[in-house]
Amino acid sequence: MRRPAGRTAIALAAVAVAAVSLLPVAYLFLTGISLGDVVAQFAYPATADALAQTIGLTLLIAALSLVLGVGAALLVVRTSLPAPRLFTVLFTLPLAVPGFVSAYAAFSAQLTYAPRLGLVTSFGGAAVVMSLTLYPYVFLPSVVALRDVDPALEEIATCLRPGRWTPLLRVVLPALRPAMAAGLLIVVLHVLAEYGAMVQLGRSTLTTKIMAEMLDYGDYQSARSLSLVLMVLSAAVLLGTRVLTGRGRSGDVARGASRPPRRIRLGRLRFPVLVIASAVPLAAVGPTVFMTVRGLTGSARGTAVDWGQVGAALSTTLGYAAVAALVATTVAAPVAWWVTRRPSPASQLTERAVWLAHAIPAAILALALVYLATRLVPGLYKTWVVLVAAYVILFLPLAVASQRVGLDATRQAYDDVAASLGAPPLRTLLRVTLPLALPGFLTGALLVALDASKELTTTLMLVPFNADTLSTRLWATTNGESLDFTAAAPYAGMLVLLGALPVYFLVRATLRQVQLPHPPPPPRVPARIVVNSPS
Amino acid sequence: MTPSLSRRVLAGALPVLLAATLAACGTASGDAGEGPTLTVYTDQHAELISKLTQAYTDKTGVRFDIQNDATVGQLEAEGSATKADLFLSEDPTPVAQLGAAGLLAPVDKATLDQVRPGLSSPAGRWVAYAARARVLVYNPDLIAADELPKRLADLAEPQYKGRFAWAPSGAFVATTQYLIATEGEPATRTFLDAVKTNGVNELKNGNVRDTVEAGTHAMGLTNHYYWWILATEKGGPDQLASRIYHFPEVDPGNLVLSSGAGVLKSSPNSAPAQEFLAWLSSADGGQQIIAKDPSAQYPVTPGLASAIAGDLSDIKAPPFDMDKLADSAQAENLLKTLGMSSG
Repeated sequence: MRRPAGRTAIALAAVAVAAVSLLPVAYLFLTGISLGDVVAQFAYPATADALAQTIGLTLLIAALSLVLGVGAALLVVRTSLPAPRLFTVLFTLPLAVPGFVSAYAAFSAQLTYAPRLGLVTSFGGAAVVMSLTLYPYVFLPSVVALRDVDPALEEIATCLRPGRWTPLLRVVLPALRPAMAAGLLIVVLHVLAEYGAMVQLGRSTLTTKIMAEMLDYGDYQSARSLSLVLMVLSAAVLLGTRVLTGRGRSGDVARGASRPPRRIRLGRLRFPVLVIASAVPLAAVGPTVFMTVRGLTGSARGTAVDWGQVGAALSTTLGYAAVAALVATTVAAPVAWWVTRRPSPASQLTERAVWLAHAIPAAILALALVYLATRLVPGLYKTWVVLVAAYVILFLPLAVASQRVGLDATRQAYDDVAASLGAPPLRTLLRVTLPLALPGFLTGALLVALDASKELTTTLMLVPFNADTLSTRLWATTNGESLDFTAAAPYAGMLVLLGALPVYFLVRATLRQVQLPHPPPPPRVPARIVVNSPS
Repeated sequence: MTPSLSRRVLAGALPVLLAATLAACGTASGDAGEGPTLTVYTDQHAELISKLTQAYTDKTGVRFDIQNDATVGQLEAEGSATKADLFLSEDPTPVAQLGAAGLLAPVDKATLDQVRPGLSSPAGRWVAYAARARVLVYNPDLIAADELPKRLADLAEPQYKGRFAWAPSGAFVATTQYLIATEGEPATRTFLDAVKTNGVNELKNGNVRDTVEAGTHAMGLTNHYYWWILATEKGGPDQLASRIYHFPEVDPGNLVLSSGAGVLKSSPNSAPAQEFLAWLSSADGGQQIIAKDPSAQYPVTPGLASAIAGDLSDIKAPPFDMDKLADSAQAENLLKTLGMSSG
């Protein structure tokens, strides 16, 4: 067991990390906002409308992402869907595409083929487009969590209450709750802070209002006041989902030696399910890939692609993303360890605090960092250090959430057993805890790298002079307005390819935790659950 | 424990990361050559600024650090620590705001004199270096040329109900501020109410162009260069389904807005910065580049036309003191009250 001194050090480190990530939030108050400013915003009817639309979109996208994410995870891990590995990759692929790119691709495809349809710019259409880009955040943790369900529990449940759906409803879904909550939190905070995609989809949310205040009116006071409203909303979500994750874990019977999960045989449903399963990733990334290829090969290409410029942007992007992932992984560790190993109001609040910065629009966060960096570390302003710090603050929650899943896969009891057998703490960490938690840590690092390489708003403001990332170059081709898939195609294509790489590693890290069947399971049994014979 | 963890996990990757970072950082910031380095904050089209500064570097050796997508907010947040020497705006509002806040040094008179009258700051705080015009684009499949409104105000008429798109962009805010300044708030409110009733808010100028081109709407209010950029991409104006239209008489619908350039008072490089402005707005300097640029903006020196969009003199624009845009609170308040703001 760890000595209390070590534990205190971790707790202190966690609190310090949370404090630093709350700095940008403090900026909102430093610049002086009164409650009156906030209330004054509601004198305009559009503010309440935007608030209502924000809440509505958030709820709908959360629900859709949950259905898509959990459904896809169940299909891949718990049914006889063919090629589960391939489908795991396909289901994760939407993560590779920046939100504003897929939104514009959908908009642009509609404009090209059905200009009067107005589907993707409707409330429901926008929610579907957004959900298709965000559900992988629910899908990935759900895949991992499904492994954690001991088949023995399901057998017990079936014995106690016979029925086809008993294991799913009584054991599997409840066990998925922490994973669903973690994924949903990421989805919801993304929706709350999303700007580019929402504008392209014609939606008016608190964040688009905040950006309009800054960009169209230069009214930063109003922007900060609205940000405060957004933050209250986010804080409510954070505390709300804490109630979800705060519940105890489901039990298990024989951990560490659990059998492969039981699979539902699709039988005659195999073909329709296959079609639906293929349609989801196709709808999510299809328009982007199609518009990109069309842009790269179209006859209207005026200027040749400057691949040297593309290459420079690519290496810059890779460098920043890699360093951000490294730093975020390091500083997330004490927070994740503290909250999983020593759950207490203090550790849980600290963990929630890390999320708060994720919930304010990136432009406000960037302004806050400009303000703070020019005052605290002027020498580092407009160097990669401040930009990487911004990425770390923005995406730290992704690392913390994944590390929690990883640390949950190992147990305090294992550490205790190791200690009782005489292993010193460091040896326990290296030989017991780390190997079990490693996939979670890697997943977190990859998610951070992925989001950092797609980030635009903060990057525009903080990137060193004369440096470009793939997304800022992509943005430059838009002239601040509409994406033009002719000029943007090389950068969009490169971003998607670059994104596909971490997606591949993510899936590998995830699959390492999940046993998928190698030999195809025996055919013939109609759509019902096959109970594995005890091995 | 946690450091050793990440060390262990990522030790193998570290050299690669460092190499990538070094490569990434190597491209940053001027490698102290001869001559000064000017820091330009800009929200203009990045490609255009890159071309302009590159040409100036080739000619004079002066180097540039460029902050794209810059905002007045970023400058304010930086406060006295700002490295900016110059601000090159796309719309007049940011330079008008900086000027009103007392942050800009006066532009050399000789520089201002190079530019067509009425386009730069009347107080001499910033010089125009490019211009854009508000236009109506229309789709002849959906509306005949002789049915088009003769004045912007005609869009309030019932026969145009549901037939045009608009976007609450910065240029729309500027138009609103112009209307308030010239026709008063009540008349402006009546007109905007009609736009809200008759028109469709497509949120962005680019969307206005795209939806008219695609045939979603018969007409749309946007900026001239959106249409010309698309025309250039598609191989010429004839390749487009839509057409561009300037109101036949002097009209708010033909409002011309300048891109302005100013030198920050706090700049330690004011002499080379002023020299750059003189080159930027001269007929044989930056204006040549703007005249040929595919972004289709108008050059601002007399006698020079855009190779794509033609001559600014052909547009019957009303006179407008663009420094008035420094405070667009009235327009902002009116648009927000009517629920016509963007976002």
